[in-house]
Amino acid sequence: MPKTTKTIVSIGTAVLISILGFYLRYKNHTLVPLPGESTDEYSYSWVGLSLIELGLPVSRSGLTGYGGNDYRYINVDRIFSTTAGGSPLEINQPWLDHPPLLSLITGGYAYLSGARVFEDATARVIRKPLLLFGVTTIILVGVLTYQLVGAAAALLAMALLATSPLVTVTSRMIQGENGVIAAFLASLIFLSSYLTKKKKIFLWLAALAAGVGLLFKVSGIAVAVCGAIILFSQENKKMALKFWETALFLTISLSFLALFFVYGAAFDWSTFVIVWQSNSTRPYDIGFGSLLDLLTTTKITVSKRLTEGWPLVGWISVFLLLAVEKRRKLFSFVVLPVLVYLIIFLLMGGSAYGWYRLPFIPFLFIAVAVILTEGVSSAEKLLPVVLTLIPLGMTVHKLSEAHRLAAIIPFWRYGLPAVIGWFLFVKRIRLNRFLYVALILAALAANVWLNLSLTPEFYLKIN
Amino acid sequence: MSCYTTNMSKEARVFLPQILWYSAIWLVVASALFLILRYRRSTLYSKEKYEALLTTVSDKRQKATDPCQFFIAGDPVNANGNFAKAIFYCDKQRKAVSTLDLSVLTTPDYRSMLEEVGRINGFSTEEIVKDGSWKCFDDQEQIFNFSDKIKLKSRVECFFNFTDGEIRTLYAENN
Repeated sequence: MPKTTKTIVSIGTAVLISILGFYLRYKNHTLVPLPGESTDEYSYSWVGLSLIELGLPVSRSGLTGYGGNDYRYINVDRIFSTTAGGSPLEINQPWLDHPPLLSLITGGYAYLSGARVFEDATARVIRKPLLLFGVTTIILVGVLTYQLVGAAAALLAMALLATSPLVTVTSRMIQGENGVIAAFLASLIFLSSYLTKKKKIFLWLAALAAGVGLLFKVSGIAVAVCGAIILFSQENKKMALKFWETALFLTISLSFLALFFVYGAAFDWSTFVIVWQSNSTRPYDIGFGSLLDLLTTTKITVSKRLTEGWPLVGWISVFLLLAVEKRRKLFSFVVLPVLVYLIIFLLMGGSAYGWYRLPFIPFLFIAVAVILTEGVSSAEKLLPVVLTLIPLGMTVHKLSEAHRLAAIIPFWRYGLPAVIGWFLFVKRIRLNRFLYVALILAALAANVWLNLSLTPEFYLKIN
Repeated sequence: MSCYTTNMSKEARVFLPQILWYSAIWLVVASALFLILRYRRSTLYSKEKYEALLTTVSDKRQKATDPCQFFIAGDPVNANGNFAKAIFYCDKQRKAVSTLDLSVLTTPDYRSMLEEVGRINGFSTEEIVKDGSWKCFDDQEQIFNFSDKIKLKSRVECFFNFTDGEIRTLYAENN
């Protein structure tokens, strides 16, 4: 195929994947996750709304640092008849739990949509901006993967992110991590461009993107740390140049964190300091239990799970990339972000909350895409086949809870060893490649089907 | 100054001015942000606007057709005994139970309690506390003055179109 035609096909496929990703996120976005399942979603938006209307951030927190709460029943989306439980919400002012960027985006959108009181900020309104975040993230994953390995892996990484039911559900949630992800990917894309094209504008853009990440949530510090490590560990560069590049990058990115301090000081410095301390005295969850939990469970909230195989296969793929030497760029832009965020994740004691895990996902999926795409051209396909069968099996299992799939159980039971046996013993290159690609497409199709099956009723049933 | 610049590396001569310029711009932006936030707060904030933001019922929220259509599910687990139940009997078949954490009330009386439950669930309590078509009881004692202070852990039960005999029968059955 000529190069131009290949480019057009690739871009066309990327556009179609992005549209599919948007559709899957849009469908049922007001109902799944259930409104009120995490009241953080309203909390973020109320901060934006109150900043616009009162000039003061007011919202739900309950952190001990505030020294007393104003208890209120704010029955937005009728959450007190469904998900919120019977306790009133702990309202605090000035609310300084997190930096205000996501609040201003969702609260600002709600205001522009006509919301004037907290009850107006319904899930139907405030989740809309997150749909765009979701699609942006799909595109950014495609761009970064393309820069690192090429078009095929980029398309697969995009397809995984677009169709993973866990991601489609969590990307609808108003959580700072969804903003951190977009900033993380954008910063790495610009850094990669800087390293290859040597144009200083990319260094500035990378630093600014890292700074924006910090305005979504303080855990966005991972973006700045990761970028600094990448810049400082460049090979074949003078130490002085590496030092000054890193200094510029950190000055710009961390200045955004300093803006959060200014924001806190403008409202109430002593409350800001106490809330900061309250946030940092959360349980220090660095035990093996939390790591095992991270690797083996896929959570949406604290207690709600949506079991899926792709993140597990992602962790395996990251370990595989870690083990392969001489792949410096993949290490710097896929493995290192995972490791840096893992440290932040463990230090922040975030293992209890599903949304704390979101920033891992794009990098896990890029790792999966790299390993599975290499499997297409590789003569030895057993490992990527097994890596595809794990999430396919788990998704089909979930589907069987929504639909009557008893008829296919024997096929799965006997087909699984047959497929593994086939790829173990039969070495017909073209046929194996065809079967392998068909298997990946089947896994993606199962993802889409499960997404389409995720009605509120089914979502409540599964775990 | 000349001595300072000549001792600087080539990289420092490129990057240091950029960092200093950026820091200067940042200082201006941060100062402006600080002042704007302070000014907006002083001009926009008032206790009345705060109350309205939190307590105004959304026009977009569906209004309840009667007090039994919606309810507050679950109990206020952190209320430490400072709660009361509001139970509405809309007819012989339908009732709704809501438990309210009394710390949300500024005036802890029956009227405020019923009005707050009505605000939360989206129905008017006017006919309950005023016009006499409803009869309300607290732990089986009829409430005649809704301005009386509410007792902790009360069971406030309001009946629509029930005769005294029917209410007595209901209590007898429940006991």
